Amino acid sequence: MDLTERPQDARFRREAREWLAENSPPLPLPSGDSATGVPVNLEWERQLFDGGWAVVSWPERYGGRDADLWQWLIFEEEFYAAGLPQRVAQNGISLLAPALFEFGTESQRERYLRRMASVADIWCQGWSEPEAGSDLASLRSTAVRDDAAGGWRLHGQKCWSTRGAYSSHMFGLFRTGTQQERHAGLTYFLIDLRQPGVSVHPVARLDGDDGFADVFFDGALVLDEDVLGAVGGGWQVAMATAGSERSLSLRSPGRFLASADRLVKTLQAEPGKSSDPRLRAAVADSWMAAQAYALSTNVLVSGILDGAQVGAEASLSKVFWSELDVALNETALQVLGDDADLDSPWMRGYEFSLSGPIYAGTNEIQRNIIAERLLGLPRR
Amino acid sequence: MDSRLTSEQLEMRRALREVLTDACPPSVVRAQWNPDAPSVVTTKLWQRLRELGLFGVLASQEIGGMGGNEVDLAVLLAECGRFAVPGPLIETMAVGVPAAAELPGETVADVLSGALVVTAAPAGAGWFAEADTAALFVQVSGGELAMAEAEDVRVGARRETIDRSVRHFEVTGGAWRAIAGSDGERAGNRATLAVAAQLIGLADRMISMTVDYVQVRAQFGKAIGTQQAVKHHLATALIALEHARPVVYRAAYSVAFAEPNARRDVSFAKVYAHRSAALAARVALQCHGAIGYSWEHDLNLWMKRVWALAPAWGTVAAHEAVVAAAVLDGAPS
Repeated sequence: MDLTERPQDARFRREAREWLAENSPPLPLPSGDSATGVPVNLEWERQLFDGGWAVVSWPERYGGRDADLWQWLIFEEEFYAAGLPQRVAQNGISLLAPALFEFGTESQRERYLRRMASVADIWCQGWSEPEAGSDLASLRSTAVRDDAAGGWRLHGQKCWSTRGAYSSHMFGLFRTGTQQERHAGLTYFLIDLRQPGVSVHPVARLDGDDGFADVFFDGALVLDEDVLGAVGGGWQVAMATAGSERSLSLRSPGRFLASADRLVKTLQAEPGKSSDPRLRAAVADSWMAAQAYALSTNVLVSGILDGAQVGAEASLSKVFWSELDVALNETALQVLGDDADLDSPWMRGYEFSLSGPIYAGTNEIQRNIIAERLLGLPRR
Repeated sequence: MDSRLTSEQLEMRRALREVLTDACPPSVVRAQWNPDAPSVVTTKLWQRLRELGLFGVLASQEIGGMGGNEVDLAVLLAECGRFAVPGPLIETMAVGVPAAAELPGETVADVLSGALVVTAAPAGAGWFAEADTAALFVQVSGGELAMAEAEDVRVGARRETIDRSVRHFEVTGGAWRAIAGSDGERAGNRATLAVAAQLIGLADRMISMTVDYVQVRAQFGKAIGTQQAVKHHLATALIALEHARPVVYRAAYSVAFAEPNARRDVSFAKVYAHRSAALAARVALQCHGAIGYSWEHDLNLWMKRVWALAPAWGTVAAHEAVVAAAVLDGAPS
């Protein structure tokens, strides 16, 4: 163990903090999941990109600053501590980009990474279908070969695509093989949604924002150059993305550390409640959970920088952060007391937190993964 | 930055595991449950651990110790927890040996050689582990440590704890003398850390013990470990453990490098290690079913150690309050 901060990290933190303080938009921003809020968020995210802070851990040529994972964690801490919201670009940069770096061709990286980081393209995920949720490998949307066009024709329906209503592109899994092949018959496609044969229908979430979309495909074209990984190799690419989605890439500790700090301040600001032992204990629990997630992430990052792959360990993280997020927001509502029924930022946070145990693979699926791949229990 | 244990620490742990696999099987732990059993400090197990140098982890090499820090202490005690090693480990390793090292003369050498038994307790506890064999008693409070010798104190009745391998005796009287220059707060932090480290080891072993059992035990024609209900119990226990372990090692680091939040970090470690171990005990018992509820099954040796450690060196509630005060009131920690 060596927990001394490198001099360059202290510099990096200071630089990030100063830039964010000088350039932050008026807060809070409107919801990045609503038609009126998206343009405001995109303007801010473009500014973030122009300042060189959109994707700090990426190579400079794609708009990053070659920061390592420690500095990425620092940036995330500063970003959320400044009160900034989750980004519209998030699903592209957190979920697709790791797959592009690992499996993409040079041409794919050139065409997509910079535009994704600068929010010129907005990406959504196209995995779930009406009949394929936890059992993702049973999905039925198909890609049919069109040699004349030099690509694949997509058919079927994707659902629950986050920000699908505002996205220009989708990364999705489609069946190029047979239904019986399950995992082995899937291919990962990079799809332009602005073409004939695609229709997007916004779907309102629990909080009323049109944060989801149903996306219907009826012969839309994907060229061969937009197949990510091998034809039939989509599952492998998707699972690499899933590792990122489940652990630090999508949900960095900074987000929860900042929420816990806000919760502490919320209780401190409530005269008469800040000495209530039950509220104190609940708030301290949230603070501890956020810290524990940060500390366990540091162990994971130490391993990654030493060449380790994040495998099933990501499932430990996913269950932990999603449950801590629910508990933290529940505690905030307890602190609010009589006003807990208002449509407040904490209530919005609570509603959003309830999606955590469901998306990115339900916590039941994660517990199966933990039991089978980490503890070695038999599948059946 | 690297949050992982060093290769030296992993090697040290491997060496201890090898010794304990041989010297501390469950039968040895259980033997200490016998009301007529001699004190563990007179047993072959204790002799082996002494020869290994375990007790001197925090003593400098010049005085015959290992020259380790609190992270090393936590690594070794977590391993002892995996084997449910009985005896005054916390009292000896975390408090007694460092206190003896502050005393003039041969005291620390005698403790390390086994010629002299040292024990320790928080001030005001009214009891000490191994009081009937101890020659040197150390009391821990926020100020300086206080010491007394066997002839200064009256050893009374045995305190019947749930873990019968733990031998506590009421202790009264005593001409307590301050150990000049000693740091009681640091000693208390080390002791609490030692409790937390053992708890994560206990949790780890109960999980692996249960993982083994549910693959052997069959019902409805298949191993119960194939059932999701069982898998999810064990996964939940592992999630808690893997998020408690880094908290414990972070606290060890904070104590080792005298960081300003050491007290808060140690209390946090005790709280999380306790919750993880208490959960692992519940899960282990539930997944074992009735056999786990029996006296003869070894699981109860691990569970009861967890229960006995819950109030040791500060109750869980007291440590929760320390964290809450540090976080909410900016209390010095």
